Amino acid sequence: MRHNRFLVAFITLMMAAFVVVFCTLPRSRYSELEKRDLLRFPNFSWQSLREGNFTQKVSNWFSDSEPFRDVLMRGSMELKSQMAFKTKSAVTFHAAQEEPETTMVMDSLPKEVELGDQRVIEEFHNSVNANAKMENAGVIVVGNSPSARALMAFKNKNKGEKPFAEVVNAYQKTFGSVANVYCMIIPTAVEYYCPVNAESCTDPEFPVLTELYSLIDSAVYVVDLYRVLGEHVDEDIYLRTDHHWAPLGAYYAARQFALVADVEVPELVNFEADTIKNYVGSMYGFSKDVNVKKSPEDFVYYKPRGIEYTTTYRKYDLDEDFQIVGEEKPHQGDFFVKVSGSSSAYCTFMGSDARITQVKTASDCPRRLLVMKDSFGNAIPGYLFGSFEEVHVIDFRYFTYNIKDYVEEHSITDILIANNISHVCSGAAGAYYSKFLKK
Amino acid sequence: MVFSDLFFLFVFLPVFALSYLLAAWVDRRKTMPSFSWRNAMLVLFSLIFYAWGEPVYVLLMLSSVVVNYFVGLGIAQKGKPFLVFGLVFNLGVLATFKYLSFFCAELLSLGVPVSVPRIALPIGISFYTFQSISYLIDVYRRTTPVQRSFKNLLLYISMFPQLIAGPIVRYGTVAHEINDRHVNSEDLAEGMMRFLRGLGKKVILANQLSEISTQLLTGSGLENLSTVGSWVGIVAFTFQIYFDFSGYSDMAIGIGRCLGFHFNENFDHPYCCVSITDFWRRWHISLGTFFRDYLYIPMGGNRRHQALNIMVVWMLTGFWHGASWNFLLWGIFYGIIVMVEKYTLLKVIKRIPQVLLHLYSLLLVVIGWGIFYFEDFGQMKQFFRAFFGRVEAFSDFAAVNTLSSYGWLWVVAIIFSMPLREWLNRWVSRWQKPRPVLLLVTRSVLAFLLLSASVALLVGATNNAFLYTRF
Repeated sequence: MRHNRFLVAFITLMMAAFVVVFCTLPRSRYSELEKRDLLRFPNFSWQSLREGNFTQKVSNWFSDSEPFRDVLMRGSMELKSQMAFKTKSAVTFHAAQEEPETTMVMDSLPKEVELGDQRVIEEFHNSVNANAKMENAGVIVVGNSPSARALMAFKNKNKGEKPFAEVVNAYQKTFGSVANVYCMIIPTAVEYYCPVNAESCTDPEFPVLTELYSLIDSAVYVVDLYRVLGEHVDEDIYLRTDHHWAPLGAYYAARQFALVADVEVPELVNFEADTIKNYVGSMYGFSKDVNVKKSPEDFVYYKPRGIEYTTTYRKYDLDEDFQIVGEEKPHQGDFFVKVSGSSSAYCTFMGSDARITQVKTASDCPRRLLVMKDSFGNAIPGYLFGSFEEVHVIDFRYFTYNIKDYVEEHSITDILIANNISHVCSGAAGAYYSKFLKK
Repeated sequence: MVFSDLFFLFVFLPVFALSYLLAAWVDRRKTMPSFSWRNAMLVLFSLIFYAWGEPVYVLLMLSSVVVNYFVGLGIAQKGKPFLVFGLVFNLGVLATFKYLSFFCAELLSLGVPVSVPRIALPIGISFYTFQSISYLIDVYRRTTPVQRSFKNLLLYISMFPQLIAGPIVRYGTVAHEINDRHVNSEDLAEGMMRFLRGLGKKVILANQLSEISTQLLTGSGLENLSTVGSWVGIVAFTFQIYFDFSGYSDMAIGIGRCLGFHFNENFDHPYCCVSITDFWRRWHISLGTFFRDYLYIPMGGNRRHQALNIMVVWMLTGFWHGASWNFLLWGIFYGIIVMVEKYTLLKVIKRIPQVLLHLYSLLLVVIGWGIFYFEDFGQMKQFFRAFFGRVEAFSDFAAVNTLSSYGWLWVVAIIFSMPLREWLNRWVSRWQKPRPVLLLVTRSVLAFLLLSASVALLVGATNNAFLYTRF
């Protein structure tokens, strides 16, 4: 009897402790681990109550924004990792999961705060709407900590390559007389680093690239990266813990572009290398594999040395649903943004995607480049400041103007359309680019 | 709201517990001897619990209780006509809300010009309707007295621990305890431990196993299914549905025990069965006994046209699970096996090695879950082609990967689907009587591990609904 009472008291105390934590401590608002805003308490309406939405949303809010969410998530991941039989050369596959109501996206927009002269990125926020994100077809994790590599599987479900090729051809037809049009499709890491035994979890990218390039008009300058990147797979050309490539991969891509565009890009030693230590990128949130968390890497990026340039931003204001609701006046800033903490490392380039960037350089080359890109493209422009007198960068998810007007207004001479293969095949990129011609 | 929801665990349950304790304190002071504040509180929170997920359909449940209340009184006075009316009413409600849309859609697909009503399935309707039916029949048979207090009947039908996913509690099981129940520290300790065990089964085992089955048996996983993948996927579902449903039953029984109710067991280690007949004595016992007592035996049972009785019972058992042909097929599948076993296996069962009987039974159970899992017959065909090796790929990485990535989960799932506690108790008592302090420490540690692991795994969980709440 006495022992039963003790057990009851013990369980009651445990429950009470959890109640205190969950109901009295401040709730989490943002998950750095998942790189997304957490759910807010829902707005009340009688209709939503009647339909059961309100109560459902309250439950969801309670489960999504608990205090110490990231700590608990880490505990959860650790627990799950303990379920595995450990082997030295483990390869695991994490199937795509259902997503919570607020979507974790592949590309993140950091909130900038002014601290003296420097722009410091304080934290991440979601940036793009759902149809613009890279399709999450599952994550393959190769190896164990501290050098695990997470690979986003590629699944070509939407077959967006044909419409994309048509759009690129349309750009050539539209601008061919005033500008050179280049098409760069960026393979993702899984194409190079997927172990043979996990190949069934992902579709091959090479046949898709071949098909794509065969559909593109011969007047379009194709910047084929497949072989170029393939020759450097022993180097850190892709990030191990993020879905993006590494700045080094972007360098080889910029060199290949320069070759096609007939401009010069200096050797890598002529750039100033900077390192952000202990970077763990988005793949931890996607895979929820603690091995990835325990495999931080160095994020090494390269700044042009001895080249003068000024960067002007036109930032878009976004609402809670990441829709554009306004645009700030142009202002000058740093192209390479100093980030606080290591988790925002990839935002070093321009700080985010939701902006139009114009870089005026002291280059004596009279050509002007427009880079139309997704977030993979963010890492390219910095290598080209010595090659063009102006470099403009727009993200296809955040552009509200007619592209013909833009090209004419800024006397663009070269247009580089640079996107990763997942965006191309999702169909989203093609649809956006097509829209810019018709606005 | 479900039991494994953080909101339920850390808001609803504590608020309810405090309110209930307060009500119990008021009751003990006997200020209103004829009124039970505890019961009133239990009804109030049960209605909130149900309305949380079904704010409109709570009225349907209340209406059902009102009708059954008066029908019960009518049966006590006039007998059969009221019983017939009650059965027609309850089955009519079930047919309307669960099956009407399905049949209309089927008729439409056959070219019959009918409009298909869009009726959402009220949560738990299959369970509370069957409880109401059991009440009416028991009153008619005079095995239990009629409940003359509306609030007591409302309590019986709406009681939140078993409201939305069973077990189907017979009125006679709790009739006495509605007005006269006592809770001691053993009840509380056993109830709490049972609840935590159920939570662990659901969150630690079932939810993780569902990641495997979902990965392999849905979407692109199904499209590229290999033979190994189909076996791994469906075996994962086999464990998932057991831990999911038995976990829910444990939680329901545990909460009931803390409140002073003693619900009957709903599972008895079904995967230790030696035949399919044995499996159904161990799986969802409350549904099996319902059909046995209220359908099979009244139809004639073993005494006349047994084969017909068996098939009818099993078809209805299958169809009870949902308005889809695969559930009917699932019922027929078991009906045929049970019938065949009756005339063959069961006559020679003692002469066959146990291990063969286990293998035979588990193989058929796993095949049964294959029928159960796929409501789409195209997908079901695709699955069984892979299952029986009629696909190109014998094995694939994703399937093999789930074996190693979840290696310990498989081990734990296999161990915990066996009567481990009974074996341990027997083993320990063989050499000495368990020391109470040691037992207390073990249980405390277990409670701590179960609760903390469950809470950690519930954070970020996206696949948390109980499977049986949709039936």
